[in-house]
Amino acid sequence: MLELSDVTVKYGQHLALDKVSLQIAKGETVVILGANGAGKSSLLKAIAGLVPCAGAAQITLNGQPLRGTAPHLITEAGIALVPEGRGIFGDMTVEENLTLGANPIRARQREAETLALIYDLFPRLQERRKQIARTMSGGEQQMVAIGRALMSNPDFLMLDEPSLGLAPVVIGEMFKALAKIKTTGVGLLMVEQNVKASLKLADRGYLIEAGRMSASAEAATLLNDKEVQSVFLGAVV
Amino acid sequence: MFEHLINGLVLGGTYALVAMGLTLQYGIARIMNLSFGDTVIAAAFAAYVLFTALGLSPLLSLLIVVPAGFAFSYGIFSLIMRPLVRRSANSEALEVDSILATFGLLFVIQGVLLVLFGGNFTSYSYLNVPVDILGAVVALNRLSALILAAVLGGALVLLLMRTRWGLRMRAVAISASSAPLVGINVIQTSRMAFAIGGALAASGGVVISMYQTFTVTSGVVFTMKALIVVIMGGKGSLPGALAAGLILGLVETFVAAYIDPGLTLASTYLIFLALLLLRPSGLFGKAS
Ligand SMILES: Nc1ncnc2c1ncn2[C@@H]1O[C@H](COP(=O)(O)OP(=O)(O)O)[C@@H](O)[C@H]1O
Ligand SMILES: [Mg+2]
Repeated sequence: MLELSDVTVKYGQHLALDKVSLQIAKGETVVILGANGAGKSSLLKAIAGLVPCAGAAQITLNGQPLRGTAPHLITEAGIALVPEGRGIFGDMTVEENLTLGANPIRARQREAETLALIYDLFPRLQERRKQIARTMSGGEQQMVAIGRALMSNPDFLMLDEPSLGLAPVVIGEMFKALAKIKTTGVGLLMVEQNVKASLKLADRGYLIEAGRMSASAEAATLLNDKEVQSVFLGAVV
Repeated sequence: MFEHLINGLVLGGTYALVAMGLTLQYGIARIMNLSFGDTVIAAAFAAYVLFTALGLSPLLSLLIVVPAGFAFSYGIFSLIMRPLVRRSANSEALEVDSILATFGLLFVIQGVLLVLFGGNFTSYSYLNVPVDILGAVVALNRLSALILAAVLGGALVLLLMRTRWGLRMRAVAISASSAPLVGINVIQTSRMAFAIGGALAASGGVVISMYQTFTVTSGVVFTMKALIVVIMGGKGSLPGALAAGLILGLVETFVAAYIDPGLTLASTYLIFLALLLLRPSGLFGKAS
């Protein structure tokens, strides 16, 4: 169980997140929806330890406090992030990226098994394992990013707008892959602007507006919600 | 001709060894260390003292001087660089801060050496016996220097390219911001890279002392040449540093032998300029 309560993030004077609370259980898929600048990336970064929390924020993983833990130790604790823009090691091969993904000690024992699983999920990565990552297409690079994160054998996988900048066909393939990842039992916490596809995949959803959590409901409820549809009209595919 | 080739390789191998140290410090730890050459010279003086006072051969003094170079750089990183790394908003800010801090360090090291050894040219005679290689006569100390540079440099390249440890080092060089996402402790990795860079500087100093004359103020020249080699080879590229170091050594040796010894530095700049114009990202660098 990953739990956040009253998570506040400030950039100087600017309040990017204001007392946001959420929980996600292992095996659950949760989507966070919100317009540009709402604070979605800041939320994932706060969990990953990449930006500091302010105020009375608490973040716990299975009851263990995570706030203030260094980012590399959060990965080690079992939370992997696929950041906005992917953050892959562009000058390395696909294989090197994946090997690096298994760098956390928690991942070492099952490394070969996890790699087989990822090649099964993304056969393209196996074909292209010697290719330099930055020479690949956007969709392939996203596969590398997701594969790399999965290599750490995480309990929770966080994805920041994985469909951003991809062609519609490629987005479809990616959501199929995410659906398969979901069945492995990992908790998925994703930020998306692709409202329909992500709500179909998710169990629950949260809406975030100008740094505040404005709603939380079952994904099916949100999918049929008139307000959600109107708020995200431009973003609905 | 063949003799010049070997001498050029000796000089080039030394440059490559020293430049690999700088490329580790700059490419991975992102610290532009202007006191790098002074670490080299300090190690050369250490080897000189160990040889003249204790009769220790430079090959044995490596066992003392190299760990000392590692420890010194490890300490410098923890003491001076880490606060800079912590407070720097981005790698550009860190670069400027580190240039200023290491510029100060340069004068501290040079000052201490000046007090200890004075400003005279220094050298000692070790394995100064001629050996015949396919008709060319080369001093044995130079030959040992070349072998040493090749072994140390080769071992480092293997470690970086073939081990998980090396993969982590390269990951930090490529993207320090993504490295924590794969569980890498960036500060620890940077400190290790900086310290190993210092160890390489120290080994370069010992190698240099075996066949060159040096003074307290030679450090600047080595910093400059290492910098040229790093930029020529492509920032952060070890194979690039290796190739560029060898080229520089060969060109300097041939220019000194066939044109005029006074033109070696000029020729260095000439290749540097030509390369910057033709391949701005360096021999092995990737166009960004
Ligand atoms: N590093 C930063 N420095 C200053 N302001 C930032 C920084 N990152 C994000 N912000 C601001 O915080 C708010 C939330 O940003 P972000 O979390 O990236 O939103 P989202 O991912 O929902 O688009 C925005 O107003 C953004 O401009
Ligand atoms: Mg965002």
